[in-house]
This record gives sequence, structure tokens and C-alpha cells, in this order.
Amino acid sequence: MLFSSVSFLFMFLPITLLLYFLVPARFKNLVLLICSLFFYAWGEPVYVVLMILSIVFNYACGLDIGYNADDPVHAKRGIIFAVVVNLLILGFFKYYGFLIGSINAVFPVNIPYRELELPIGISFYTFQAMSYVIDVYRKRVRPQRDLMLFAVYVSMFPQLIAGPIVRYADIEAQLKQRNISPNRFGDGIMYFIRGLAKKVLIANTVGGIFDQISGMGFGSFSMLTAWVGCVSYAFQIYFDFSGYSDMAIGLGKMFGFDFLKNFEYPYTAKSITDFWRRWHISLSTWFREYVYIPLGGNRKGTKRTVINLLIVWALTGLWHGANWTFLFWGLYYGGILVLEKFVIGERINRLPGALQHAYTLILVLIGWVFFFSPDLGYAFRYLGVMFGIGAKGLADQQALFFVLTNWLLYLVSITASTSFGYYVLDRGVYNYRNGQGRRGVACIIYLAMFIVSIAFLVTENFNPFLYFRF
Amino acid sequence: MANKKKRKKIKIQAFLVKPFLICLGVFMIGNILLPTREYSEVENRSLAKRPRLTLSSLQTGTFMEQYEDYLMDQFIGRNLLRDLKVRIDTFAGNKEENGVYRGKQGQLMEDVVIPDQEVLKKNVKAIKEFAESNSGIPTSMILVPDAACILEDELPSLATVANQRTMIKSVKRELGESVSWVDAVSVLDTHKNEKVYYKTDHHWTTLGAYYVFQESGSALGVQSKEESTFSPYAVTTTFNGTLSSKSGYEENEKEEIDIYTPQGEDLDVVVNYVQEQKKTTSLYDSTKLDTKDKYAVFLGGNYSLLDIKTTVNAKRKLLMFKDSYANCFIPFLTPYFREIVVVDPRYYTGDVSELVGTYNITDCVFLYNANTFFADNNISGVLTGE
Repeated sequence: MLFSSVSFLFMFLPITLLLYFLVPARFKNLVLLICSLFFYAWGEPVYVVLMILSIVFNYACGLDIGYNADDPVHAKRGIIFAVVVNLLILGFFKYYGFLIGSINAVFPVNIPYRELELPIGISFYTFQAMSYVIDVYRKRVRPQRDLMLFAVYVSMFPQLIAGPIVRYADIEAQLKQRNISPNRFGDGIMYFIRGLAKKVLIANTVGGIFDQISGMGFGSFSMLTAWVGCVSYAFQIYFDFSGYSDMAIGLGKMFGFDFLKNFEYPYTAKSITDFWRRWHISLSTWFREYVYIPLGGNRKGTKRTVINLLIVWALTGLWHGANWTFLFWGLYYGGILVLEKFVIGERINRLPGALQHAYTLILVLIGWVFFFSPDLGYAFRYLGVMFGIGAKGLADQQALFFVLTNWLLYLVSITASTSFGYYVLDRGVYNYRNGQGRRGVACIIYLAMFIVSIAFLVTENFNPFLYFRF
Repeated sequence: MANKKKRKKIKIQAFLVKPFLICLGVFMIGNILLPTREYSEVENRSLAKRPRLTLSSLQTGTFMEQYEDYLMDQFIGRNLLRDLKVRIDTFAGNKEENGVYRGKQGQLMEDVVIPDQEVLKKNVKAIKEFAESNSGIPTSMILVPDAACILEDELPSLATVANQRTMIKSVKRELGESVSWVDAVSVLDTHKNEKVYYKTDHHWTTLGAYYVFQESGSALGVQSKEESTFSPYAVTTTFNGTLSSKSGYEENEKEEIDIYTPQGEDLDVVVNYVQEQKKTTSLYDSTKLDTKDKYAVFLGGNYSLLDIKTTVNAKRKLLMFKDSYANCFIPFLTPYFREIVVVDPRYYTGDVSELVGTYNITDCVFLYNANTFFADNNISGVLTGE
């Protein structure tokens, strides 16, 4: 079930909230678990079994590792087993087809295989479960004895299908004890409505433009159109993804959870290093914590650091999808980050601010081309058009038509990509001196955003889920 | 002071809780209580109904998808919400909604369809082979361009659509000598300052059809008489067409539908709706004027097979393959043919060669609107009997 769907907003959510707040405290986790399993089964009626198995497996591994914490050999064996099994499950469902397909393409063999449908959210919940067993092994957290609490942690519907990747350590205490107050609930509503508006009003609309442009044949669009398409995609993925994260954070707050921030105005970054501190923060944190640092991080000399970075970024790329384009995309960023770290970082720091932004945005836009292309050939041809090779002229009417008939959309997108957008929204509310005025205005602004989002949601058929490959 | 400020800020969030929950509750209960509607007059389409719950539909997830469609289509206040969206889009500078352009002076135009080359090739080949294998039956082809092609100047500033003229030309080239070609593009070009297309509907007007009919005289082998022999009169002045329904634009625009009747002669017809086993004595179904879909006044809409018999003193019998553009064109042909057999390949599943024999066909015409023709995947199937 998507957050941006009528079934979720006007069936699942009200019923879940009602049940959750009606039952006494000791049953709240049970309600949350049952509702979360229903939520997942609604979208994945078969693979829900896989998720339950994954939960039980990691629960058992956690207990086993915790129980043998004083026996390093046994514990080590336990953690290796747990990580390998998790990766095998993920690998089987996500990379099997890609692997065999690549082998068939490279070697003169033809191994038959059936492309499996990827279970939604498998990359998110597998990573969450792995953060738990690894942290138990490292003795950062104590093993969770209560299967239900562990199941709530993994399957909790707000962050289940599109993140953020919540680490067990961050949420351990909240599983048992949560503060629910009207203020937190209201704060959650504000997060949720902002996220919904980002997804439905901006991402879906701007995504429609990208869809139109990417559907045109090469040779039939101009350089400017290619840039409009790429910028549209950049806005689509940012508002879609950060919208989902905001909705997740908001829903978390309604049920008494605090999740960490996942996006911090990434398009205002001044370097690629800075960009990745602001984009999908929970994923970068995960890779730093559980891959980069265990590999030795930057403590083993320059050469090892470079290798470690490239490994992490190759994996980050592949995490986003089993395709050469994602591998390339990851290594592209790995390469730039290595360069920034060892070669050009200082020089970029000394550039005027505007140039820093331009440098970052252009590299990020080029990166998105690899991200949205179905294969590398398409990516390079599209990039070619962006830089004048194979383009139908510098600019044409079509590009101007897209910009002109969507001027407000792009204006809102740009504003909302910066902290200025939030500032404007906040000013709208806090301009009023007296509390009553503020409450009224806040109420009107947020409910209006909600109703308009519903209007777009109900009447617009274009409502894609971008993370089916993650 | 800081404390006081904080307290006020907290209040705002808490204040939002009730209205939000009420909102969720009202929409939820409203959706449950609202009776299911079959059809949307405003959008001119059937609405999704509650899907049936079966084990397999549950397992594959189709139930969930259909359930979401059902909730969307039956959403309380859907028409108001749709209106709100169109208003916001318009304010934001949007000139296109759901594949419909709002042109200058409110002329609505459907985007030009780009054909699937494989399917198009098959269709054209089938028409060509049909015409060549029935060499005793003169066959003509009328491919009517869309408003977005003829009224290109009316498109919103800077908007571009695919070039339908070249597409139509290439069909003409492919068909070559096998059919007599009626050049509808240039006729409509000549008259583009008159109202040859509806503003709110994707069809041509009866006037547009009339001009093309005059042009087609030699191809069809009919003596098209002077305009005065047909006299137009309006059957409704409150037509709001499908493009309006599809886009939500210009929903208050009211248009006129004209019908042209042959002057002087008294011409009787019997229209036999073969599959429906229904007969009428009129080319017009006036009951449709009370519905939203008023264009269906012509022949009552689209049917798989019509057999129109006339009282004309002529021997020729026409076989027509067509889409809805033909519905307002057929009345012009009735004075010239003893019988007109009308096949809509989208619905017809029978054997065409049998029709030719059974009805002793002497002439054949293909009449299509370009967008339907280029999106069609039925023509070759019906003609080749596959």
C-alpha cells in the first residue's frame, strides 16, 4: 500500500489510528504489528511470508549471538552466518536475474533463469535487520528477547517500504516506551501533510513531464528539452523520496516514534561530499557504519581509503537496483568523492558560493541520467543530447512549452528544494501575533494542502512508485 | 519569554489534530455511505465498481489494485475535487490536461496519436489486399485529420504536436492505386475558418463532414449536388463534448449539433441493428439528445454492424468500414445507395468476405478519423478474418 493512495489515507490510516488509540497501552505494539503486516500483505500478499521468515530468522540470530557474546569464536560464527543468509536472500530476490543475465551476456553460455519479482521494501527491511544483528554482535545493543517487539521494529509500516532505514539502536527504547501527546501527534500531521503534498503535488506532476520527455525518440528533442527532462527527474525523485520520508517521519510521530532526518535540502549542497551528507542520510549512515568503517575506513592509508570508498559506492549503487546503470552511478559518485577528498576538495572550497552550487548541481544532474536510464547506452545517448550531440538543435518550442505551461510548478519546486521554502511556509503561519490567528492560519494552510493533495490524488492516474527496484 | 513562545508553538500543532482526524473520518465514512455510481456524466465514462473478492485476485494483488481504482472513482465529491484540480492547473499555466490541449479561444484539441508502426503496416496492408482482391468493387478511403492538425494555429502558444499530415500522406502513398483517395486534409484546410470541428468534442461537425462529402463525390461515384439540396438545422444547442469531459476544460461551453436533411425528396430509411436485432426508421436517435453523449444522436452511437436500407431508386450497395466520424457522414450518402452496410471493426467479429457476397456489395469505403485509425488494432484482424 502506498501512503499516497486512497486505500491508505481513508481506510487503513483511520482504522489503524482508531484501533491503536482505543486499546490499552500493553496492546498497542500488537495492534501496530498486525496492522503493519496487513499493510505489507496488501501490496505483497505472497512475499509477506518472506518478511515474517526474515524477522524470525534475525530474531533467532540475535538471541544466539547475544547468548554467546562471551565466546568470540562462536559469536563470530553466528554473525557471519546471519549476515551471509541475509545477503543470500537479498541477493537471490534482487540480483539473481541480473547476475545470470550478465554471465550469459559475457560468457558463451545460456543459463536459463526466471526473473523474480522483487519483494517491495526488501532492501530496506533486510538492512534494518542486519543493523540489529551486527550491533548485537558489537555489543552496542542487547538482544531483543521479545519477538513481538522485534517484529514491530522490522515491519513497522511507516518506514517499511521506502525508508528511512531506522537502526535498531536508535529506536530500541521507543519500542517499549513511547510518548504520545497531542503536540507530537500534530507535529506528525504537519510532517505527513508536507510529505504528501511533496509527493502528490510536485513529484507526480513534474514526473509526468519527465515521462513525456523520456518517451520521445532520440533525435526528436533539443538540448534544452533534454535538460528540462533531467531537471524534472531531479525534482521528481527528490520530492518523491523526501516526501515519502516526511510522511514516514510524520506517521512515526503519530504513533510515538522519532525517526532521524533523511534529507537535508540536498540540492543546496556545495560539493558532492556535502550532497551525500544531505541525500538519503539513513542509507549513507548505514554504509559508513556497517561497511566503510569495518573495512578500515580511512585509517589504513590513502590507497586503502580509495579502495574502501570505491567498494562502498559500488555497493551503494547496486543497492538502488540490479543493473549496470546503478553500478556505474555508484562508482561515478565514488570517483568524484575520492577526487574531492584527495585532489580538488580544497580548490572547490575556495570557489565562490555560486560556482560551488553550479558544480554540484551539474554533477548531480549528470548522475541522475545514469539513474533513470534503462541501460548505459541510453544514458550516454541522453547525455550526448544534453551536451549537443544528436540533439535537435539548441532549443525548440517544445522545451519552452514545458517550461511556460509549468512555470508555477518549477518555481515551487525550486523554492521547496531550499530551506527558503520551509521558511515561507513557516512565516505564513507565524506572521500572526496572537495564538488564535496562528492556529487558524496553520489549520487553514495545512488542511488546504491536504485537500488539494487529495484532489490531485483522486483525479490523477499518474502516481508511480519509484522504489520498486531498491 | 522563550518559554511562552514555545508554548504557543506547541498549541498550533495540537490544534491541528482534531480537524485532521475529522477530515479523515468524514471522507472515510462519506465514501462508505455514498452509493456506488455506475457512470460519470461529467467525465463521460463508466466508473470502477467494487471488485469481487476471490482467492486468486487476492493472491495476485489485482483485487487491491481494483479496489484502489474503485475508491478513486467513487470518491466523495470527486467532481468538485476534479474541478479544483483543473482550476489549480489552469492557474499554474497548464494548457494540457489528460492528453487534451486547451487552445486559443477555448478550442479543445486532442493530442495527435503516434502509431505503432507494426500495427499500422498490417492495417494498411490488409486494406490494400482487400481492395485488390475485390477488384470489381471500387474502394475509396477517407482519412479525416484531427483538429490539432487542421487548427494547428489554434494550439496554445509554443505547443507542438506530431505532424499528422505526413502520417496521412504516407498512408496514401502506401495504398497507392488500390483505392481512390479522398483528400480530406486540403478540404478541411480550405474551410478551417468555419466551424468544422466541435470546440469541446473530438469529432468533426456535420459541416466539416459535408465539405468532405462534396469533395468525395468523384471518388465515391456520386453526383454531389449543390449545397442547397441539403438543409441544416440544429437539433441541440447544449452539447458539451467528450474532450471537455476528459480534460475538465470548458465544461460550461454549449455547442450546437446540426443535422443535414436532403431537401425536396422524401427519403425513407430502415436501419437494422443486426446484432442487437433492432430496427428503426430514422438515422437519428433523438433520445440521445437528453443524455450527455449527444453526438450519439447520429445512428445512436457505434454498433458492430448496421444495415441501412433506403427507398432510393438506385442499385448500388455500399460497404463501409468506419469509426464514429462516419456517423454524421452517412446521412449524406443515403440518397445514392440502395443499401449501406456499416461495419465498425472495433466491435465486429464476423466474416467480411461473407458480407460482400450476402449483400451483393458494389462499392466500398473506409472512413476513419486519423487518431482512431492510427491507434487502431482491429482493422487488419477483421479484414483478414484472423
